[in-house]
Amino acid sequence: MSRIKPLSFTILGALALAVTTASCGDDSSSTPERLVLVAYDSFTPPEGAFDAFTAATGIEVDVAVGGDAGELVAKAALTAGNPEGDVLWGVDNTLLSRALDADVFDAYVSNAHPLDASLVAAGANSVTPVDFGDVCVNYDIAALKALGLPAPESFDDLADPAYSGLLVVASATSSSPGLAFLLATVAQFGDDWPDYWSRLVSNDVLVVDGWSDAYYTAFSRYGGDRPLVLSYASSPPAEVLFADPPLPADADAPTGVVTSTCFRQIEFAGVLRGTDHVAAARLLVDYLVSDEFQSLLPESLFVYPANTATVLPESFVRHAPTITSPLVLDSAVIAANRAAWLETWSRIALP
Amino acid sequence: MIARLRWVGATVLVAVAVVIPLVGLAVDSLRGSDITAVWSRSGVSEAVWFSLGQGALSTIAAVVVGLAPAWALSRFDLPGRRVALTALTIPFVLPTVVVGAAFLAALPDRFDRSVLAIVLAHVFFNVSVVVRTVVPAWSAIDEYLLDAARTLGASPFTVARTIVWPLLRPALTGAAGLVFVMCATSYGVVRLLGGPGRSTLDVEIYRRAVDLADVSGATVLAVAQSLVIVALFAVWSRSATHRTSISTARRRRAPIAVTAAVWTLVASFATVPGALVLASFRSASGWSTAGWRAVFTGGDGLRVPVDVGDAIVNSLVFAVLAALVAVPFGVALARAAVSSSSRLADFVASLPLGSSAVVVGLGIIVTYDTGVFDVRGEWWLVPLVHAAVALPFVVRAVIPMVEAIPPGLAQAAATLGASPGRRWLDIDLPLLRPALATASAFSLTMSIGEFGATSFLTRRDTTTLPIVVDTLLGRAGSLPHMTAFAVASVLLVLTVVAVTTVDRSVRA
Repeated sequence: MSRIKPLSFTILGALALAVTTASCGDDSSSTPERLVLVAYDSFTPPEGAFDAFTAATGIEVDVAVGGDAGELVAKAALTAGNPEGDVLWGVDNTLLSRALDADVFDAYVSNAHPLDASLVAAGANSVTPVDFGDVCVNYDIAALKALGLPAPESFDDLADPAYSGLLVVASATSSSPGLAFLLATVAQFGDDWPDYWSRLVSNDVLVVDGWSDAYYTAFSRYGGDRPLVLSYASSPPAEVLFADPPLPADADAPTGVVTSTCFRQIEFAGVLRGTDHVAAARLLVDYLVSDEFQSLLPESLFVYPANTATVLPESFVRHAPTITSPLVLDSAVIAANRAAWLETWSRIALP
Repeated sequence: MIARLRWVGATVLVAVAVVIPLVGLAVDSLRGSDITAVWSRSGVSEAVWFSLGQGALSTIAAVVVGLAPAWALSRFDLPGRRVALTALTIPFVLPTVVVGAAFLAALPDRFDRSVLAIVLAHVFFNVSVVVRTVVPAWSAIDEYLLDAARTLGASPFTVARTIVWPLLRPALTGAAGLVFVMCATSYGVVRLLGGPGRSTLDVEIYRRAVDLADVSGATVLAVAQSLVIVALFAVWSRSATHRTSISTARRRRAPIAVTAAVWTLVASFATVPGALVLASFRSASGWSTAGWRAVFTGGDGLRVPVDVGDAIVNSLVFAVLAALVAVPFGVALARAAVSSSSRLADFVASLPLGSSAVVVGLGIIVTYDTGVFDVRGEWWLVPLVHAAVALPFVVRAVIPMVEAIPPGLAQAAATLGASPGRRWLDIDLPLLRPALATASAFSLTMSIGEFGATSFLTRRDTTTLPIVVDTLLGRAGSLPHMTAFAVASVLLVLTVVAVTTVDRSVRA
C-alpha cells in the first residue's frame, strides 16, 4: 500500500474542512448587513454619500472599484452569474451591449424617481440610467494664446496643420472617453471617418492609454506640451473648483470646450445577476437615482444627474457650456459595428 | 492497480486544474466564434510575430551576455566565485512582476514600454539559465586537451572551433532552446513593460478577455497559444540532450581584468533590485516614505480595490497551501515515474509545464461557470491552480533523489517487519529530505510569484501581491507607483527568504 496516502488524506481533509468553513461564512439572508457596489476607478462620491441609504435601510455600502469602465464591464462579463458585488455602477452607452450580451444584470429598472426619458436604454429591462455627460475636446486658453492661435471650433480645425502636434486623445481600445471620441467622429463623418482619422494622424495626434494619462500628463495645464485634450464638457468647472491656488468662484475657467466635438455618454447602474440580495440591491439602485444622491454627482463625478428633479450647482451653471445638440449614435448601431470600427481605428491610429 | 492509486490525487489535480479547462476552452472556441475572423483581426498576427521576434532577440542577447561569465566562472578561480555564481542565478526564481517593476524603476522613463526594456528584463532572467547550463559543461572540458592542441600549434581560434565548440554545443543549444521558450511565452514582464503593439500571445489573450471583453476572441487565441507552446517544446526537447558532466575543476587564477569584468556584471545585476527599492522611496517631489506607509496601513487613500496587508496574508497562505498539495502529490508522481517507470505519470507531471498559465486561468473561468460547478468566486481555486503549476517542478526536483534510493533498503526493512508507514518515516523521508526542501522552495516561490493564471482567478478578497503590483502600476500618479515598488520589494524579499530558509533547514 501507499506510504504517502495518509498524508494526502490529511491534506485533503484539511482542505475540505477549510472549504466547508468558508462556504458556511456566506450570508444568504435576504436583508444583508452590507452591499457591495462595483464601480470604475474614478467613481468618487463624497464621504458619507451612502449615509442616508444606511440610515433608511440599515444596510452599509462598500464601494469596490475595479479598473476603468471597459475593464469593469469585461470583468462583469467574465463573472456573470457569480458576481463580485451586488450592484454595478458605470456601464455606459458605448459598452452597454457588451454587458447585456453577457447577461450581466438581473431584470430591474428603477422607477422610484423621475428620470430623463431620453436617457433610458431602449430595449433593456435591466439597467437604470444614473448620469450623463459629454465627451469633448478641451483647450488650454492661456497656452493657445501664447501660441497666437484662436480656439479650434470644429473637427476640421483639429486636423488643420495650424494645430499640428497640439492634440492628445485617449485610446479608443482602452478608454471609454477614447471610444466616445471615435464614435463622435463616426457620427460626424459617417463612412468617411477613417479618412478623418488619417488626417488627424498626419497632424500628429498623440494617442495615450487613458483619460488621466492624457489630461494629467500630456495636457499643457499639467506640465505636458499639448494644449488640446480629449476630456469632458464638465472639465472647466472642475478646473475652477479644484484650482491650486484656489480661484475665486466668479473667475473664468482656464479651459474651454470645443462644443461641436461633443459625444453624449450615458451611464447606467444595474443589479448584478447572481447576487444573494436582490431586494436590497434594488433598493440601492433606487437610492442611486434619488435626488439625495444625484445632487452629489455634478461636483464629485462631474456628470449631469439623470434625475430631472435634481438642481444643477452654481459651478455647472456658470462654467459648463450647455451642449444643446451633442453627437449621438444608436446603441444598436454601436453594438453591431464597434469591433470592426476598433479594428480599423487601431490600424490607423495606433503606432 | 494499487500502485496507480498513489498518484490518483495528482492526476485528479492536473485534470481538474489544467486538462478540463483546456478542453473547455477548445470546445468554446469552436462553438463561439468564427476562427478565421479572429485571425484576421489586427493585433493577432502582430502578437504571434512579436512573441517570436522578441523571443529570438532576447535569446541571442541572453546567450551573448551569459557566455562571458560562464567562460570566466568555468575556467578561472576568482575571489567570490560561488557568490558570483549564486548572484547570477538568483534572478531565475524571482517573480516576473518583480523583475518587470524593477526594470520600470531602473530604466529612464523614455525606455518604459519599449522592446529594449523587455529584452533587458529577459536577459536579466535568463542569463541564469545560460550560466547554470554552460558552466558545468565548460568546466568539464579538460584543460590538458586544450594544452595538447596548443602544443601541436593550433591557434586559439582553431582550438575554440574544433574542441571547445563541439563540446559546448549540446549545453548551449539546450540553454538557448529553453530561453527561447521562456521568452516567447513571456507574460508578466511584457504586461508591465510592453505597450500597444508590443504584446505576446498571452498578453493579447488577457487584453482581449479583460480589457476588451472579447472572450470569444481570447479563447481562439488561447487555443493558438497552446499549439504554439506544444511546437516550441517539441523543438526544445529535440535540441536539449541532457548530459550530466563531472567538473574537472582545474581552474587557474583569474587575471584581474576577468575578475573585474565578472564582478562588474554581478554589480550591474544587483542594481536592478536596488533600483526597485530606491524607487519605492522616490516621489515626484523628492524622497518620501508614503509608499511604504500605504503598504503598512493597508493602502487607504490609494483607491485600489485591495488591502495590501490582506494581499500579503493571502499570498503567504496560498503559497503554503499550494506547497502542501504540490509536494506530496509531486513525490507520489515522482515515485510512480521511477518505480514503474510509468510514462503516464511522467506525462501527467509534464502537462502543466506544457500549458500557458494564462490559458489555464482563462480556461477555468470559462469552463467552470454553471450551476454547482460555478466555482469562479471560490478562494481555494487560487492555491489549487498554483499547486498544479508548481507540480512539474516538484516532480523534477524529486526524481533524481528517488532514483538514488537503493531499492534493496525498503525490501530489507519490509523483511524485518517494518510497516509501510515506518519504512516511509525511517528510510524514504530522511533520504528525500533535501529534495523535499528544494521542491517546497520551488513550490513556495512559484505560488508567491504566480501571475498568469492568478490574474484571472483572484477577486477583491483573494488578491495576491503580484496582482496588487500590476494594479498599482496601472494607476496614474506617484503614490500608487511608489506603493507598487514597495509591494514588489516585499515580494522580492519574501521570495529570497522562502528560498534561503528552506535551503538552510535542509543543511541544519
